[in-house]
Amino acid sequence: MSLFFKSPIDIEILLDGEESRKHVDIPAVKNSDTRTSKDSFPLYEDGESISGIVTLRVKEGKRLEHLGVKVSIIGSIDMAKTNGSTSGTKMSSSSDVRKKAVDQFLCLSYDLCPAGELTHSQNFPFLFKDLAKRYESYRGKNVDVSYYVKVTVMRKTTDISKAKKFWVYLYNDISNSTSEITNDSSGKQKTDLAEVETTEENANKDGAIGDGNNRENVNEQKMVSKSTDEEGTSNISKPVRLDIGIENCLHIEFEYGKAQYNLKEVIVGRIYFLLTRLKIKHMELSIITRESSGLKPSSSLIDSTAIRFEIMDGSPVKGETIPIRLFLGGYDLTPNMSCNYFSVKNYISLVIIDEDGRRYFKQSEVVLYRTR
Amino acid sequence: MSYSDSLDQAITTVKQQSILVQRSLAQRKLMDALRYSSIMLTELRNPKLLPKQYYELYIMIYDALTVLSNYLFENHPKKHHLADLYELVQYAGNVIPRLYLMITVGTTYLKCPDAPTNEILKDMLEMCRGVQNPIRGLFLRYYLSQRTKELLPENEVALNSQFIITNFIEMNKLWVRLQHQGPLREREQRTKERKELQILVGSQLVRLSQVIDDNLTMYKDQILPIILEQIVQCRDIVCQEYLFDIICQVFPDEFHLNTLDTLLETTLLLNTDISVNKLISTLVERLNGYLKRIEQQEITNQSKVDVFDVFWNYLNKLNEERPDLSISQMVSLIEIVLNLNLHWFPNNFENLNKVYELISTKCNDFDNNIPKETEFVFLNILTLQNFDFLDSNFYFKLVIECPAYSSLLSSQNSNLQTAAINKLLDVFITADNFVIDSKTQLESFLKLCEPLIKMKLKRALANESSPTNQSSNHPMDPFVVKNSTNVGQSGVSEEKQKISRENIDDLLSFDPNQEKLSKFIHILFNSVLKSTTFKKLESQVEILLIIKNWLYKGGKNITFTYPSVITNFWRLIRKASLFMNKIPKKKPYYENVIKQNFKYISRCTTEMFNICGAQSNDQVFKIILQTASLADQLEFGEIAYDFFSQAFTIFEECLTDSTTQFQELIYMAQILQRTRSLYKEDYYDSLIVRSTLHGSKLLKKQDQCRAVYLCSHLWWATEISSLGEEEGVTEDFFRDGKRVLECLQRSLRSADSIMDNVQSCELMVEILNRCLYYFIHGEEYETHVTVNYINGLIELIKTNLKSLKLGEEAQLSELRIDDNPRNVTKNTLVNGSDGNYVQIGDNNMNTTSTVLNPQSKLLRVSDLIQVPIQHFHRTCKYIVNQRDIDPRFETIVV
Amino acid sequence: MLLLALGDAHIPDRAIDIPLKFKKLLSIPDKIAHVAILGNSTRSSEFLDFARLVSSNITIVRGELDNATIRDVTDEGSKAEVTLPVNAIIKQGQFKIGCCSGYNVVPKNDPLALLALARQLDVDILLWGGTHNVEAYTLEDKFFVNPGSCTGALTTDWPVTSTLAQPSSDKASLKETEKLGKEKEDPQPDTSDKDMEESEEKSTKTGQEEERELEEEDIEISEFDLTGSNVPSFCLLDIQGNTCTLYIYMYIDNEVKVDKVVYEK
Repeated sequence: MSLFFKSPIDIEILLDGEESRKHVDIPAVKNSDTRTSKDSFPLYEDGESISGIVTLRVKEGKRLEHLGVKVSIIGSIDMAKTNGSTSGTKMSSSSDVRKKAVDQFLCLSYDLCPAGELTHSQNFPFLFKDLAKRYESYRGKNVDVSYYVKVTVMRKTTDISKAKKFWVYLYNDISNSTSEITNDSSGKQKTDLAEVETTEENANKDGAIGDGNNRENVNEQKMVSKSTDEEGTSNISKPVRLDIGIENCLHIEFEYGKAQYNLKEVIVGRIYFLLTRLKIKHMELSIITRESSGLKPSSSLIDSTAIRFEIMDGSPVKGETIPIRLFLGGYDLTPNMSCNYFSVKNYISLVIIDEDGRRYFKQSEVVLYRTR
Repeated sequence: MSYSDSLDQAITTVKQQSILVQRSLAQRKLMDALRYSSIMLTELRNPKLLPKQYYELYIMIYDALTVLSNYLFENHPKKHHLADLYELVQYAGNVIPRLYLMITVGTTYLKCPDAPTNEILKDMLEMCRGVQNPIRGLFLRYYLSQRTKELLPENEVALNSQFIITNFIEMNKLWVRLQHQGPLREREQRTKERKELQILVGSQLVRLSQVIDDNLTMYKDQILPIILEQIVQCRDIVCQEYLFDIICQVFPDEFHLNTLDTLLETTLLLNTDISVNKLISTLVERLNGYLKRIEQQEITNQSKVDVFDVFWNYLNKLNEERPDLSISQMVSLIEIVLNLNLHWFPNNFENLNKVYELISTKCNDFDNNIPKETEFVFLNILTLQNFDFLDSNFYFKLVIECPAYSSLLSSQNSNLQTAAINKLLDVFITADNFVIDSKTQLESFLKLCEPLIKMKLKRALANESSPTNQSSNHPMDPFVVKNSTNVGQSGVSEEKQKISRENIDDLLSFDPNQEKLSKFIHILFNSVLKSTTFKKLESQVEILLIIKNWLYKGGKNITFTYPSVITNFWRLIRKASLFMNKIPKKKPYYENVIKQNFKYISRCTTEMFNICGAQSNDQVFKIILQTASLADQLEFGEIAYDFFSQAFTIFEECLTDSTTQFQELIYMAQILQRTRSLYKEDYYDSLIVRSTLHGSKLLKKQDQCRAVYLCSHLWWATEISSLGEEEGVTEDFFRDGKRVLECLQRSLRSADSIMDNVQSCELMVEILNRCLYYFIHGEEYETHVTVNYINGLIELIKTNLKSLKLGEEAQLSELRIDDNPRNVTKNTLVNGSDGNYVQIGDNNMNTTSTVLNPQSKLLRVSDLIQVPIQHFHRTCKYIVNQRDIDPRFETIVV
Repeated sequence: MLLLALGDAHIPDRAIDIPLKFKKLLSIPDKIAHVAILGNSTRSSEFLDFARLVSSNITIVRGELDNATIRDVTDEGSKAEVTLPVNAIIKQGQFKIGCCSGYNVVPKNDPLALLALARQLDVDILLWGGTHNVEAYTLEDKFFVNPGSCTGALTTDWPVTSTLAQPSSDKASLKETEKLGKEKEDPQPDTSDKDMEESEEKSTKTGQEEERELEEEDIEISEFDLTGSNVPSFCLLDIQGNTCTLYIYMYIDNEVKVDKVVYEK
């Protein structure tokens, strides 16, 4: 529309101290092939006031009648329309799909000026004091959480509006985040100890790889539940120890520092080999971010590998201990989050690739949270 | 990131990236430099590279990373802080590039004074565990080791050694693990690769040795036990052998001296397939080398004693704990300890005796069942031939002071014994600088030689079992028959007469063992003579008798060994005679000694005659004659006569072939002609008559003829210059011209009666020459060989030669019909002093003459008749020449 | 062309080996074309092996203590045996060289008897042995060479020199023979003058000693007193056309001394 009719008024939103404010670079949604293009947004946190100046510029010699000027703060959860499928191909197309707001969890507005006529450019300061922000900004595959300041010039005909996006980080303290996790993780139980991941690179492998080796180990479940139990208490720094294996083939102990990390932390751990009949080529540690969205019957899960980190080259023998050290700070990771419409979870995934190219993996949920 | 497909491509990549790294650093773009480094390091992820290829890349990359490291150091902390970089590089997605970068940054950080050294070292070491692939892991850890060299904190020996040991342990594990990777059929390939990589592991021990320097206590208490534990636990042969060797090589001698028992103990715990010998040998070599290194310094005896004892205890323990070791392995091991002792305590024969005792015991355990392939070890042990520093004195003491040595030797099989004794004797024979001081010592040596003394000669046995045609009284030279069968093809120049061994009695051919023994008898006796204990002649005689009695055990072998004994009796006799002349008071005593010795010789010859059989008769005959000659020289006429009589007895009783008889008789004449003390009691007369008579009774007429004209000299003594006699000065030569002439006449009669014209003529020419001898020697009234007689003889020869020539022409015309037209050069044939023809080959290649029996079919009459003709011509020419000097020759008509 | 004349080794019965320095001198392969062994040297296979190393052309004549046959030395490893001849003749250049051990020459060592043998064999040079005394002289235009004993072995014959003779006297006698060889005059090769003096000396000495009380220990006995032999020696004949240069090698006081005599046909 604006292409055909040039807007009679320019709306400019300038946030206070915007130049000096910290910005966050977010990969642009559009043109996903050119990765380098990034959007940069000023960063705010929960409870922080947002203030600025709105400048309305009327074209020289023109005047504009309006029914009032309104400034709003809006926070919304937007979701793609597509249903269900998590398949890779659909996923890529889905990112192009326009997301529609499903929930506007925040919407505050007030009038900057009453109805009247604008004949010259005019500035209106605005302020939303101590604004509570419930969710962190998020740009996912199917879901976005966006915040923006919106200025609307109401008219008899079409309103003229302008929005300015800003970014929100929520710095959680630990107890806060744990409660979130307990709520969400309790619902799901992982059954596979190690399974063949038929990703792009070995999708052409025979299907037989999948069975046999991938037996569920009772211990594993116990381990996980044990660790969740403990998370409820204050003992969050207790190491996570996973005892995993493939019968008569592989038996390892996977241990890392704790179940929750803030995004600047280092995952330190070790893998202890108790039995290796497998000819291992190398071993990787990944952080997988899982976005789940939609309501139960048609909910969709999208995994994306946030970090892929080789931790071992070659095949160890029994008794060998492989150290793990993964600095999280250098990566753009998404902290865990959840609401009624979607959730983001993180998993540590241990992948063992044997000499025949078979991949064995073990995922274990890890909570990532943002701290100051 | 992925690596190149080929080595060439990888090298190109590394080169390119290395240049990019340098360029980025020049532009101070560190992040770029790190990124290029990472790409470069990705090449080290390639699993397809062989160790050598990997090493090639590694070296290039090492240099490139050194450039990076220097940059990092120079710009710290102005442009960056190494602590930050240490974290930064850990974001590298692949473990190998990550760790190389981490080590590069970490070790650069170590150079900075404020760096948390211990933490960094520990961290790098720990993180290296991420590489579990043997080759890549070994190189990574080698990189860590190389980079930390010179950077380990000073004065923190314990910490540093801990660091190196940990790295070593991991490297060793990786190295051992390499063996078990890949398919079984590539096992050998793996072993080969491992050997190529072993230096990486070994270098850690070198580093360790540098770090701990001379801290023995630490080495002994902390380092060595850990290393050895690793070696033992891995149970890998390649590793155990290599690392044990490296330990021996890289740590100081003093360390080994102080940890010997630990080291030895360890060998008992290793893989049983391992060659313990190799390890022990390495250790011993090292210890022996130590001796050389400290040659100038003093070694305390204390430390010396320990070395042998430690090894000795070890041997005993090994003997108990490893019954699986074969006798070969065990004995080789003992040999190594022997080696040690010989270097450290060459004069400790007590130790040696222990060692030999142990070997003996071991042999008994195996019922003296020594495998063929081990015999050389035994030979080494018994001869110690590999120790060139041992002199004859050492061997001397070995025989004297190590009874176990002798008993070990005597328990070996005869081949081995013989070989060992031979080697020993060689030593003694080439360096005879020892002294035998007692009869016991002498007996030790004789006992040592006993196997040789008693050795049964195979050939002798063969002879006894099959009587040959070689019995003493063969009427004809057996070789002739043989020779004539070879005739045929190729004319005159014939090969030597060869007789195959089977057909003749070749017992007389000398046996190398007996030859050595004979030589040793001289050495043995001489070393007794050097001793002050045996100063007296009498005791020397006694010793020689002891030796003789031992040799007597050899049975027929005395034919080889007695001559040496007899030689020494002869020497003793000459010595006694010197004493007799110089100590006149004791003349009767020495006379008696001399007589006794002659009796001993007589006993020797009698034993030889009785035991050795007909083959030795000629030898015995000649020894008797020589002894007779000696007795005569010392004016023991009676004894001389006695020996001559013995000689006659042998000559008369033991018929031999005619050639031998002839030669024996001539020899008798030669000896008799030079006697001087037989004139009393007509001994001389009876002997010379007897021999002349024998001469005239020889089987062949030509032998009779020659024997008799030679016997003529028995009546015409000539000067013996060493007695001061001189022709023309000495008045009292025994000379009887009448008898001389009688002999010549008798000889001429024999010659004349020979049917064969050629031989008859030749003999006459020879007699003519004898006549000329006497003609020169004296006036006619003395010699009775007159001009008339000579002229008559010349006439006779001329007549005979004429008829010979006539016969020749007739025969030649006959012969030419069917014979080879090629005429033989005239002067190639002469008659030898024994009547055989000597033929000179006329081709220049064969420069040596051939001897032909007169009956040989190779001889042609046309050639034969030239022999006396030419001989006569030469004689005539001589007569003519003599006219210039002696006018009497004018009267001889030629 | 070089011809080596050796004799009377008497190994192992009377001697252990030839002097090491001799061995070293002779151990030059392909230098010596021919070896003549003049008796009493065949009871040692080691010695014969050594001779074969010097040259594969070997002529051996039989000495009194040699066996009638020996293993064929020219053919290593052969089982064949060859008869040892009493005489042998070697033809080299313009020379015919006769070999005999001397034990069938009566009277022993007698120049005239040897001359008769040389005439019978029709040779220019006669090599003989059996005396253990190195000698060389010319007689009737013929050259007579006795290389002596290469080991200096004991001889049972009359001692070469008188019992009190010093080894140095051998040198003198050789000088004399050398002179003889060149001048080709005196048919008597003997060095009787010298010997006479020495034997006189001996008799006077024994006269003096009678007065003193002597013990065995006081009496010094030289090796020559016991062996009766001269020093170890051998001869090398260098034959070029009609010239024969004789080199005499002697082992005196652990040193090798060389003398040279030239003989022309």
